[in-house]
Amino acid sequence: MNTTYDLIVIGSGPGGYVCAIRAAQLGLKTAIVEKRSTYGGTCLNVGCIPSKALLHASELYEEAGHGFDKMGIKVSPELDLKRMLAFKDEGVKGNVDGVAFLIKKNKIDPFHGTGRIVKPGRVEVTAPGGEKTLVDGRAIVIATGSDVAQLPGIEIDETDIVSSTGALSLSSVPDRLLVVGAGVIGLELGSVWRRLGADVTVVEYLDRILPGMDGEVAKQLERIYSKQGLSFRLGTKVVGVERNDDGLEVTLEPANGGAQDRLEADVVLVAIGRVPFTEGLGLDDAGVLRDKRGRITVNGQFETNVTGIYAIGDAIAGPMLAHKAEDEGIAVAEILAGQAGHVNHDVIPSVIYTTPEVASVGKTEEELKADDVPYTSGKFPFLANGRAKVNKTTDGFVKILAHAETDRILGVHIIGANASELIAEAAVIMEFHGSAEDLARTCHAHPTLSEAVKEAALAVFRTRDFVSRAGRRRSLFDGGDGVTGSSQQRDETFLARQVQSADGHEHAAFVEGVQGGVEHRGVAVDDDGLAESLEARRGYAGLLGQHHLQFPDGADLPVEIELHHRFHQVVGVVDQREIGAQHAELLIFGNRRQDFDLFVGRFQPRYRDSMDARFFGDGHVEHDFAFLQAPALAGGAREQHGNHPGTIEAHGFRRDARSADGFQNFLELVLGEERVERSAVGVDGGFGGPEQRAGRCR
Amino acid sequence: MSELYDVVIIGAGPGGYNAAIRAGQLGLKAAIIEKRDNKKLGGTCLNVGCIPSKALLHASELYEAAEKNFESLGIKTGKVSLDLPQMLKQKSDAVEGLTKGVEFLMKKNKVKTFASPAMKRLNLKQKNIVIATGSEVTPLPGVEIDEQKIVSSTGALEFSSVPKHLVVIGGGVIGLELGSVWRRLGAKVTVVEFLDKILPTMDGEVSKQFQRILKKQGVEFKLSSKVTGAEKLKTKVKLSVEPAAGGDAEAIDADAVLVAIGRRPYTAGLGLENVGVETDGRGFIVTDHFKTSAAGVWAIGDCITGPMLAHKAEDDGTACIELIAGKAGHVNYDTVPNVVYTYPEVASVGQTEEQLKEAGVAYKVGKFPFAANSRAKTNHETDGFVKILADATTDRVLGCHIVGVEAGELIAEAVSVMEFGGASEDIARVSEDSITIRPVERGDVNAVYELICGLADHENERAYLTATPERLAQTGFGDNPQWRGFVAESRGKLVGYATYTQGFHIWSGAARILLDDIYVLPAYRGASLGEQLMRRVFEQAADIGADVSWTVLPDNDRAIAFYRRLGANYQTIGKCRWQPE
Repeated sequence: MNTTYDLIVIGSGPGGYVCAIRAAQLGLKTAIVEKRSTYGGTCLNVGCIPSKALLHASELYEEAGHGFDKMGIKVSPELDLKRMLAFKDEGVKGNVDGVAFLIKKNKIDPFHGTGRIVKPGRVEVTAPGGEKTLVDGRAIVIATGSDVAQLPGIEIDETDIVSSTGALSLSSVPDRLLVVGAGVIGLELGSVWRRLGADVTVVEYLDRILPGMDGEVAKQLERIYSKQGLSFRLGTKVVGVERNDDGLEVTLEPANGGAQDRLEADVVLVAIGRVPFTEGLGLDDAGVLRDKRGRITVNGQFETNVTGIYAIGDAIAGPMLAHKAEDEGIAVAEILAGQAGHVNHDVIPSVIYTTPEVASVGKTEEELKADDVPYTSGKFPFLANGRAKVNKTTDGFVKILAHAETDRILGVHIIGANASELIAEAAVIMEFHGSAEDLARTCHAHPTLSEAVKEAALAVFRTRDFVSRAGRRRSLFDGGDGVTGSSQQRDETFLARQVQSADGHEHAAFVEGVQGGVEHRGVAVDDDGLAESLEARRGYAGLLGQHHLQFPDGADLPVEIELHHRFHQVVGVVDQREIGAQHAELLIFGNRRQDFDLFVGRFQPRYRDSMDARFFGDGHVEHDFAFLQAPALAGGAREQHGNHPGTIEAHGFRRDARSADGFQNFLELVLGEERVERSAVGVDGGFGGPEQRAGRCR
Repeated sequence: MSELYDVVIIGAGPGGYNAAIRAGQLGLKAAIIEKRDNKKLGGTCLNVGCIPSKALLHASELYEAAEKNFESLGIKTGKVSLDLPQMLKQKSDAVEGLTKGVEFLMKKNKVKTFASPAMKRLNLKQKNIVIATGSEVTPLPGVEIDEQKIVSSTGALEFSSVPKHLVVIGGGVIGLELGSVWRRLGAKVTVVEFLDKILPTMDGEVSKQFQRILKKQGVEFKLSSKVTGAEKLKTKVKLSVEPAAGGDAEAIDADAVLVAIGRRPYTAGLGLENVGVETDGRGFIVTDHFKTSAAGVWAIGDCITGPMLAHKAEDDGTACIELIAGKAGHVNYDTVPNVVYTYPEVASVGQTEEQLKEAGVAYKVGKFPFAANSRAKTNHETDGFVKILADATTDRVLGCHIVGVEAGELIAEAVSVMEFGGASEDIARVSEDSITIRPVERGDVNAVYELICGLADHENERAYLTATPERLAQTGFGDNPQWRGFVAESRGKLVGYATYTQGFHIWSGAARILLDDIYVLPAYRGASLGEQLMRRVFEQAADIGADVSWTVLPDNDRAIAFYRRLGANYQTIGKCRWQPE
């Protein structure tokens, strides 16, 4: 009898194998289907890993030839290409063997061959020899990745007309290499062969390199690459490649028409992009929908329109990046195991591993302009960084884009040595919704390249004339114009925090998010619809779906609430009292348990004087809120951990009280009367808005 | 004539010049005083510290890589030879460029600089003085520094030839960095350390592993040893070295000796006593939020307590000026990172395991070796690991320790997370859900019944299930010594249980526990919950001196192996037994 698996993963690239391993760790019986003889997919076999090996070795080769004498190292380097390619293959082997070990260790059943979905719950695997096996499973995850995009009229033979795959294994350094496409892959592999001695020309259809990257970054890079010796033909298309005795002859034409010209080359690398690879999977028979670009359509849970069939990674929409696929693989495994899985697609860094490296996360200046988001830009050149100077890697800069009003970091773009490692810090800060000032006030070791990140952040907040932290946070919390605005754009994430009282009954949801780059925070009150959705799905954070938020000026904001992966909601009752005939309690809720701990810490008497409370409510609504925070101590120290967005915010929540007084009295009892001020405006289900901003704070 | 300054800063190191820049930005009228010759601003760090040492570390690292690793990357090198004068020159060039940069920043921020040799006797009037005079090398009695053969870090940046045998006194950051430089360039290096570990304040595991790596690279160590004297011979230095705890001295011949036992605050000649600025027993200026005991006099950086680090001094400087300007300035000393720029680098922030143990904090450790990191593997840079210490209950990151290439850059991410009070899950979503294990209670009847149904389904035995919630309730459920157990709970939901009955052996009368069921929901397997539940039962048994027995199907090899791992005996008749020791 056939085993029925909990999960069948088709494809063992970074998305697929990570998904399978996570699923197995969570107790799901898992099978994986791979048609290559080794695991790891494009990334490990013919993508990230082998290219990084060649980039690393060729970088040292070039440095040995050009920079070493200045550093006092006399050496006459000579290329041993065969050995360099062997070094690359060792790297690949070490990594694919590692995946094979993990698959075995986690008791995942492998099926070698090409997978085809016969029907939901059944996959047919055709082995290289032709024999077919049927595999049954409750869920199928498609992780088949992507394939090289072909250029019409140019046939890739992987000898002299190559894709990235062939470009990793050229048997000799070509005299002339023509790269079609100035994207990440073309520039990385073009750089490798240029360093090893090839004359490299990059032809790009658009009038800029790296479309999608921040414009300033792309322009600066073009300058740096040109200085290194890459030639660019922008705004140009390749219309044909012919073979002659001397090699290849490539016909070029201006992108918007005009006279053709010809370029000779020994090798042509086609790197115009990648397309989802879903051929032969039987998607049409199974009825799985794809969009116009061939990408499988999935919902927020990575499920396709066919129940039980999921898809992740390059085969669905989003950046085609190994780490995006990995995160999605983990999320879908967690979802299938009944947990909360989520990928924050706003904070996925992207990296180009050239010299210097390029890394970015979040929005580009162009995107912010297009969205009409007011922003401040802070920039710091590596030329002024001590470590870069002693290492003689001064090309490039760090650029930080922050919201002009809230100072929240919206995008970080780095050109420079080790940019790929530096971007991790930026991604973490953005995950915490941090501000440029937060980054600037975080201690950075000296002398490191990461100091340049700090300096760029300083450059952002210096331009805003040192807004005090407490003041800034308050204005951020109060919402700003966006809350009441009528913008309906959906290029944003919303987080929702479910407020739960001690008896387990959900009362309301606290919603925050960014719309058009503006912070929103709001309260969705305990109406029937919400209560229902609160109970839906996972007990602790199930606020998925559409909600409507009513704001004081009558605006109605549809809110799509997503699950956030840091959403391990903790709700605590800090204090509760009977005041008069009324019961009031102060709840705090945060992303994590430590929010609670910090808040309780704050409640110690020695902190009490540093706390402000602000009360919002008109006495009629069921749910009044108070916002408590500890501002910078007057003229004194910023207390440890204080005032970081996301670290300590506490939200008072009145329960069972019919008037605001109960809760306010309660707050006064807890905090002391002088620290509580009532704001005389209504928050009928909404939180923030112009009226509230008018409210005073002591 | 003298102008009135808002603030005069003494010392133009990283603390002083950053304070000056901040003062300029905030619109304060500021002046800075530097005694180093030829207007060389930047203090120890730029002139004879971090910057020149990093220049030599970088160049010597590439030199060694060219010598040892390039062939395997497909780069034939021929003979690699050292041009030491050039290597030292590029170091000096880098220093010069950066000190010029500081000079420029002073001008740009309208800070008046008073520097040697233009220094005359001047009388400055000011509202505030910031002392940023830094630190100096701690001398070692009996080993006199001449900066030729017996050198401090300053002289070790200028050896005119590579010493054959360099003895480094002190296994701290400076000794290990400069020792590494000269080892790579060809010296035999011996490090003598008084304590029984190198990098004494670092996490113990880090220091142990790091010592192993350095040893593999060829550095020799004499730990728990002290140098009691140095005799200068014609070309060599004869050191006498004794065990730290006392004992026979041995003589070590060295071509050069680097004294790197630490640094001490430098405040001599400042006239502190004239204005009543207090110092502590070790010479540090006593401050409260940078305020000294004298009105209008402030102090920052190495000459006050705290780690002697350039970036700590920088942050001190910024915060101190903000306080002077009436703003909120603060430094979070819990998140000041610390880096050793060797190969591989070592970087750490926050608490070490030793500190957590001493403070009685319950913590958990997450460790990941670079040997399992794709990029490290590809680049043949697999030495080292990342170790994260997090609070056992809240998951909050308490410390992060990295040994590895680029550790100094990687630590920035950990610092950011700690600044936000973040959890280890915030860095890497790998931690398991917080699950508690507790004794079963009366109120658990329905939830346990559901789990029992789950188990029955799992074993395909639903048809034979006789338990009902009512019957379970009648057994006493938790209150009844006959029927007890433990449950695993995650966010208020029961996800696993182990139940047992407690009784007595018929013949011996000794207490015994019969294990009934053990079950964990499929979604929660893999976190060793089953094992934890079993161990709780065993603990309970040990408390009352009972043994535990249960049945297991003879062909269930996996289960039998699992039980054996927990210390149980498998008896051939399909019974398992565990006895307290």
